[in-house]
Amino acid sequence: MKLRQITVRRLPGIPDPFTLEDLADGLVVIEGPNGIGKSSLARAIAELFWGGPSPGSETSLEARLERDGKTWRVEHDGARHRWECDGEEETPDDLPPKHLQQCFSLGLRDLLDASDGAGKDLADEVRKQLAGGYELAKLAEEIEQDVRAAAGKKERDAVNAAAEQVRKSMAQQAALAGRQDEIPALEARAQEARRASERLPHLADALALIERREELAPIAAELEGFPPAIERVHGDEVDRLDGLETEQARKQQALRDERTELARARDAAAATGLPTPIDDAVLTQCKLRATDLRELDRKRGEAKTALAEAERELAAASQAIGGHATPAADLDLPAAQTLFDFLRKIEDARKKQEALEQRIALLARQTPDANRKARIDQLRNATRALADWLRAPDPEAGSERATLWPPKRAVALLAGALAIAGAALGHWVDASLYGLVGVALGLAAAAALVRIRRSGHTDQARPIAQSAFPNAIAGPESWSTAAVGERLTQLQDELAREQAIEQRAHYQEADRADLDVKLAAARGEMAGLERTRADLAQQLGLDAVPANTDLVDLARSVDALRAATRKREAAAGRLAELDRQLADGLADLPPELSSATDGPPPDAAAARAAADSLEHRDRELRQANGRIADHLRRVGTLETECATLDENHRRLFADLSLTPGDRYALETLVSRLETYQDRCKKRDSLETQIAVLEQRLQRAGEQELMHASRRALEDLREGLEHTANELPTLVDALADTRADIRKAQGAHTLEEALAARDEARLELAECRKKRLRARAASLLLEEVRAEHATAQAPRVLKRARALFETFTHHDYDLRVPSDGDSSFIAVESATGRGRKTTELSDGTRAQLILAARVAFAEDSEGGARMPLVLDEALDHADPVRFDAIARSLARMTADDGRQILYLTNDPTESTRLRNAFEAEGCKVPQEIDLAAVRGVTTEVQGPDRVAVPPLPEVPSAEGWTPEEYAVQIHAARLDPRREADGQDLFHLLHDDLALVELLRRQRIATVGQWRTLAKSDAPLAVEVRERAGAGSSLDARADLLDKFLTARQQGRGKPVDRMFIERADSISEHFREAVIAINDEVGCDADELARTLTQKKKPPLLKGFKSAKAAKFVTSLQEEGYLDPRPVLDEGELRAQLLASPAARNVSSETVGKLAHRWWALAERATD
Amino acid sequence: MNDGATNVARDAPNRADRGRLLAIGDIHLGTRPSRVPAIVAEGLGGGIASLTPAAALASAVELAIRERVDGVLFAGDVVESTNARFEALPALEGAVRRLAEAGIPAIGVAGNHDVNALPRVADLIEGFRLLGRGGQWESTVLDANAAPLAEIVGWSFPEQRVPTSPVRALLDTPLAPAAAGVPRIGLLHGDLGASGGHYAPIARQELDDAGLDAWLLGHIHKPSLGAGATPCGYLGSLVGLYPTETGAHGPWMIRLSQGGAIVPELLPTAPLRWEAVDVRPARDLAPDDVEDLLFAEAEATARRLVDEGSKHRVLGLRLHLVGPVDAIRAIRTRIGREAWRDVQRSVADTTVFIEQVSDRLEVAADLHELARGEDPPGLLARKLLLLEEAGDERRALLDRTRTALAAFANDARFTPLDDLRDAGDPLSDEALVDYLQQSGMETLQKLLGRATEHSEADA
Repeated sequence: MKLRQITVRRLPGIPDPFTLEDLADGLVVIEGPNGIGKSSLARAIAELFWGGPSPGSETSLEARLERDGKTWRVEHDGARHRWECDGEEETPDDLPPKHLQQCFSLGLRDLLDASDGAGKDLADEVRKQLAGGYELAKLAEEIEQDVRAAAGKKERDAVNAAAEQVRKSMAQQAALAGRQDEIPALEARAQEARRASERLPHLADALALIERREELAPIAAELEGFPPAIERVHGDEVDRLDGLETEQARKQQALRDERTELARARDAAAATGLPTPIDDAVLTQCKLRATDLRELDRKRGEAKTALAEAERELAAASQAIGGHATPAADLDLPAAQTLFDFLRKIEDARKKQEALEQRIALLARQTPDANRKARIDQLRNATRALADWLRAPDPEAGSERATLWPPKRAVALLAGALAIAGAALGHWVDASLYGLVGVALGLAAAAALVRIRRSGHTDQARPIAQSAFPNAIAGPESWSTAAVGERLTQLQDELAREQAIEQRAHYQEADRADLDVKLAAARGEMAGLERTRADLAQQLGLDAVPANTDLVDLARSVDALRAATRKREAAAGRLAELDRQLADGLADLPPELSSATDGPPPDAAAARAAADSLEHRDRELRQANGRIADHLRRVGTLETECATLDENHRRLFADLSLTPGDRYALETLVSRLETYQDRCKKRDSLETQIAVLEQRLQRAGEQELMHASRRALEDLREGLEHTANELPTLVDALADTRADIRKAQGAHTLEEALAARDEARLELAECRKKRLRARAASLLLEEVRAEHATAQAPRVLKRARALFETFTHHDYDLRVPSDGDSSFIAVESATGRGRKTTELSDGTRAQLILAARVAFAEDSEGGARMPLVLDEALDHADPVRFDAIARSLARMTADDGRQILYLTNDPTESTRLRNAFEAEGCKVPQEIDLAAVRGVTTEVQGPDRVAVPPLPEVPSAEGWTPEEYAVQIHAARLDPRREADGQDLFHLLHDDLALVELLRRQRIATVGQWRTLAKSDAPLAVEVRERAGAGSSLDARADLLDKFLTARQQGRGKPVDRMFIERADSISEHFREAVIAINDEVGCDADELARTLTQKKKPPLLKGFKSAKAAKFVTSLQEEGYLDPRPVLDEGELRAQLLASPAARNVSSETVGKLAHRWWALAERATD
Repeated sequence: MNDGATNVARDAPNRADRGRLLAIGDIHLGTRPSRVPAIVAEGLGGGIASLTPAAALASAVELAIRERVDGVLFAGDVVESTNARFEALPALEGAVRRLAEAGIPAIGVAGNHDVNALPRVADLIEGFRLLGRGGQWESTVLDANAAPLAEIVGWSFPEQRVPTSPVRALLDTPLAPAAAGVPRIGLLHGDLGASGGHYAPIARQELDDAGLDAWLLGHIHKPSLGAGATPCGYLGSLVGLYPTETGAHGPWMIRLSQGGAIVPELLPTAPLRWEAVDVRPARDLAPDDVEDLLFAEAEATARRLVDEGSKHRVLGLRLHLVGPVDAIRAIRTRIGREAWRDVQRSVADTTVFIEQVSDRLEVAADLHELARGEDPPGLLARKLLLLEEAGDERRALLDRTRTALAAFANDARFTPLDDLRDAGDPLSDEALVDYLQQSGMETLQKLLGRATEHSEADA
């Protein structure tokens, strides 16, 4: 049905009627500025077919149409709507329903609907037809849940954790292996360190050797400077010299002194006058004679003295007796003895008389006491009474009374007698005799005891005895046996004492009588002696008899006179004798004495003096001679000593090679001795040390060190010390390593970790299997759904997909989601990604809706082929898409014979449409200027308003190399990071440039476009597949490229896109832009981005970004495949994979190899 | 279970043998088996250590000494690289010294795991000969009874990754002709049949072209050394380290007959054995009977293996419930309770435990009948049926699945699994089929859920 003419009689906003006539079959472009009535015209045409929106419409139209050779007229005026066919009223029965009228009249507003529901009415219509009676959508959702349930995140986390443990253990063992590998080196180093440690002392010795040698050299040189003689210096030479010289002086002086003394001695010898010493015998004789004379002289003097004394004693004795020169009587010694005996007797007699008189006087003071006798009697009575009482039987006891045994009475008496006798004897004779008293008392007691025993025979005895107790005596305290006994004992003791006193008085009286007799005899003796005294006086011619004392003195004086007389006579005789002997002695003196005194000595004194002089001089001479000899000997000795000293003095210098007497030289030499000796000592010490060091070095086999330089040795030592210092560390390291190795060998830590990792992997594998099963289920279901949809899908959907692919140059496919709440989905050929209408650009969305509506229009119109009215429908399409749509419209007009009325205000669109129609070989569109029709003038504002940029020309491939042709057609270079669908088709067909040209001319430039085209039965797709060469294998090549890009991407990850970062939970809004910016900076490289985010020092933009978040983000990068830990495959491996892939079955191995190589090179170049 | 390896009952020493060698594959000293429950390990004398490769090696060495073999061969990966020096090497050093004391020469090649460790052992221990040091082919002759027994030709990994076939160098520079009557045995660590990779990819044809009399390989843990004129294959791991290393493991006794034949014999002495068993329950299996069924199967399996002569101490089982059941939802819920965990059984000195129970139960519906419909269950049933037969559509489905799952499988969070031997290739055809079958069946069950739930409720 084609609209040939339309007359607008009345339209809202268009007061003036106008008519469009002679409308062409194909495309009719109705141009006109805004406000000229294009949209009104479009609505008016819709009302022609389906009436107005309301009965009261002001529209008045009339049109003429043609269909199948028939002419149809339709008139619409307000509520009236009338059809007529060939003059007869007839309403066409196959007009599309009114609710699809929008499919035939599309305005800009319809195509620009950006809501989620754009096209949903059409999509719902499709879904209804696809349902098939099964809840495939629900089942698909269940399967999708299975897929999600088997996401494997938990299992992957477990694997990661186990793998991390394995990595840690491996790292530890790798480190340990490294350490084990280092053991030989460590041991070598340790051995070297030990050797170094052992060599260090040798180095020290060698260095010490050098030091000693260095110390020795100047000392040796210094020693060379000393005179040889210094070796003979002992250091005491100066002292010795001083000593020598002092000794020399001393000896000289001594020599001089000796010589002086010698002279003196000689003088002394001469002075004695004796030429020679006198013979000792002679001298002794002289001395004896002189001594004898002197003794005689002394004795003579004594004799003279004695004589004088005797004369003085004689005179005194004579004086003592009265001046008589001789005593009156010859009172010789016997007389004197008699006198003395008389005197002794008279004295004894006087003493005897006085002693007797004293004893008598003593006895006279101890007169016996008359009362004591009475007392004794009373005591006797009392004791007797008491004894009788006691002996009497005790009337109370009734016992047998004791009676005094008559013989025992005698015993008592005997006892009493013995007691008395004892007491007397004890007093007068001897105290030991008091024992008799004791015996007596014992006997008495025994008798009394017996009596007491016997007294009891008579009961009256006690009263009798009691009455007999004398009153003068105190009785017992009571008349009991005990008191009586006690009192009896007391009284018996008192009686014994009184009786003893009485007895002693008797004995004294007897003594005094005896003494009186003796005194009388003594007095008689005195009288006789007095008579003797008178006789003596007479005999002595004394006038009176002197008292005893004077008589003694007289006797003694007479005796003294007589002795003095004899003494004087003896003294006189003695003197005379001595005078004679003296004279004789003087005369008989030796001659030597005479010569000494120039004549004989006149007296003993002179003789003695002469003898003494002679002896003295002889002694002097002898002494002098001795001294002379001594001095001579000492002089000789001293002279010898001086000579020796002189020789020593000389030798002292000579030994030191010095000029004799050169003291200065000697002192100088000696003063250097200490230095010399010190140097020698040091030299010796150093030489000893050097020898020791050399020996040690030789023993150690380090002879070469003895000749090394200090610098070399120090360098060597430094190196050895450095090496030796490492020994403890090396030993520790070796021990640690070996211990760790033993531990590792026994622990099986890694084996356990590997087992755990394998278990986790198996769980993950099981998870993957579940997921793949679920995915397989999903695939099966999808295929079932697709097949069912294909088989059962309405024509309208097929047509809409074909139109949409055509409009978009196969960049997109059209799908109807099973989800009933959404509209169509445009599937991007390059990526396979479905996009909702809200996600599409205005142009693409308009194309989609246009395609869908046109499809529905076609489906709903039956065979009517309703005109299609497009009101500025392509206003937003870019030139390429405009061209695509325009070409589609051309095909619609050409292939389907559809009339299309295109209303536009853009004159350039007419040109574009015309170009497109021409390009499709279709009839050139009819152009109508609505403004002109309506009589309104318009004008073109400038050439650019009508200038249309030409579509890019596709050059012929003829004559170009592939590379040149790629440049000519601006082929996009291979981007290994993009999926195959986004790659330029040139890369599949570089060996078939003609095919490239063909597809390019059809605007099929990418692999995805081809795949979309290939899904359809479009003639171009069929043509391409039927071509020989590359065309026949184009699908396989596309799959190979898929495989290549997928395999090549292994281990390389993929570029991080902004959308991923925005979706990442780990990136907060605060850091989102920063991360995006960094991602841009690193060229979307996941590795670099991960490194940047996780590095310790983060960029300023990420200040405060938590490491945990970064780690989580990196994990998500791994999980989503942005980071790929798998190994990167090389070209050979990629080629092998391509050859092993199913797609390779449809391509020769050679071609696969060439493609793989080419793609590899291009990918590498792109990466570079 | 038949793991494909030769598992022949041992014979007494054959007088016809010229000599015998004990060949040991991947040991991985320094590791321990995974997925062994603690309660099982604690119940053993010596704990988990008694199940480790070190224990298995010690046992193999004693076997070699007891059997008076003429040499012991190691096919690489003797030690784990990560902890080789301190935890793994001592066990190897002890073993080699023990052999040396017994006068048994030990010869080995380095694998990708012991590139550094094995040369170190060879340098340290007298009596251990490392062949092919630095990636240069090398040979040595083993004697028996003062006569040459066999020439061992070996190559060692010079570095952890070798992307090319080392056999190529051997082919380019052939060895000098072998002595007459002395067989040549190749000892190599590499990835047989791999078109690429880092672990010395080797083509079978290359081995055949080398003209050796036998190839003893290391690297793959599944034993595959087959008997024949020219034995060639993997010795396998000495003890299964993962539940996927199923079947018999242990050293191989290589008999060299007087007639020149080389007869390998796997000695199943590994202390731990893993097995995967498909359990097909009755269609009317009651949920309450699930555990009884599992343990009955476990005990039966253990008994069977013991009867077959396996010398293991511990048996770990992965049980796969396969087939249609009526009460599928209730049974799945029951399985989800994992009531078998930490439960062990003893069967003839063997401790048995269930490591995992997987669900490959099918809905009680006829897929072919369902596939006739155009509704979603029908479309899904068609896809499940597709997986059962090879064809372009199956291949296309697997490719689409691989593409769809690639991003998930290669998700960065799963990169640790790249180094996990047991993980396998998550995008291999086998794995993809497994995913599709299990998930498809589960999805189908859900699509038909309402009807199924009703039927279960009715039951």
